Amino acid sequence: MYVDPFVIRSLNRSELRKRILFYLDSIYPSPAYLSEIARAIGSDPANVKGALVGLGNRYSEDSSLVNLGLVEVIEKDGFKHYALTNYGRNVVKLLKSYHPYYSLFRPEG
Amino acid sequence: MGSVERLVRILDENVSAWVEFSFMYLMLFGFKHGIFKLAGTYTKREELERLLPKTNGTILNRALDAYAELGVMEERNGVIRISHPPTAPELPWDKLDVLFSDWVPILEGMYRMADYAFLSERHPRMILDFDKGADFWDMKLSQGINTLYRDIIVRITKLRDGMTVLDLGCGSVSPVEIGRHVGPNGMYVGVDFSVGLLSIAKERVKERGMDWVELKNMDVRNVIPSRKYDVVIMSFILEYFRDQEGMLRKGLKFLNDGGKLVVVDPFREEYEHIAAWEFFEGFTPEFAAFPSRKTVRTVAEEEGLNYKEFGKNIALLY
Repeated sequence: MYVDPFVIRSLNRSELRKRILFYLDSIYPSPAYLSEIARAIGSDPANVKGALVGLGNRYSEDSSLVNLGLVEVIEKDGFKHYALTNYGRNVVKLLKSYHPYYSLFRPEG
Repeated sequence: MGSVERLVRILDENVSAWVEFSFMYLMLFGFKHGIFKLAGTYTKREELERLLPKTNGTILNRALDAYAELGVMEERNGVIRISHPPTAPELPWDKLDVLFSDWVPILEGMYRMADYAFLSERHPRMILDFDKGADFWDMKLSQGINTLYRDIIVRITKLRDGMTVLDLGCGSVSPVEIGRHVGPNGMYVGVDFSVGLLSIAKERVKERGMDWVELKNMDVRNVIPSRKYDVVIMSFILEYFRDQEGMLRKGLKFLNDGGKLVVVDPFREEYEHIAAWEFFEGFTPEFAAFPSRKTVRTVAEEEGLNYKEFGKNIALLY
């Protein structure tokens, strides 16, 4: 599957987005609540929300995990759950494969 | 997945379509950047560069050379003009169902890079360098069309557990996709000069515990034939060398008695519009030209070897 390398590079530079993706991958195909993700990765729910769907000026909506198609929002009984998409799963696999490469080269983009 | 003949036909159709789409993209490139419009006014090559805004002269000249080879333009007394209509791009209308979809975004990516290169060859979005763009290359090498030719290699060389393989220019995917066929008792040695691609390959090999796979970081020109192999693979590697005959002869030096050398590359005689694909591949700094079938056959004959062709892109020397 083709994934724009610049999307993977950008994710690789963002520790928070990467940690969210890896956590959702570890529980795939199950979804998780925002607070559950925050607790699991040891971060603040507001930051996690920003990474997932964007928040104000600090977290761009364009590069949010949901907007990139990596995570989907599932609404059930008035609650929002977040789950990795199939595309997101492939991206996580690539991120892991490219980890040694990105550590060596830190490519631009 | 089917007989070798069928797989070879599918590979041929896909490579043909790739070439024809490259031709269409190259035409779009000319329209978009106003090259044809200016060429219609009987302009000199150097004037074109001056008249076109944001132009990288090297890329413009490469594009003009490609248009000339494709019969789209001609140059007489230093003046460029649009020539007679070239042969139109041809698509396999009756075989669209055998075309893979995953090479389309790769070609789109290369088309976008051509735009960036037109501004500057050092633009950060130019990622056809094997190290700076190893992630892009890995995706290129992971396409279905590549898995298909690897499958054909495995079948025509009858790879099995216990055999030894040398893969010259192995990239990041073949060490797993080809290497898995000779383990755990055989040996697969992959050589590549890209540290980036090898770092991706090593991670995958380690993850799968394929300890019969050995990966060496070096220029294939510098590999010394210290041992012989049952199979030597040269897939999409000859295109990076000016001395393609010399590279083939070098590859043959690694073969043991009864060994087989397999070449995979689009043979240029088979594709009328190959210059279009070469224009896009030419953004890789090392790219030279796609080899001719004649070159490969001549080497086989001169070395007294049997030679067998599999469609328009694969030859076996044994």
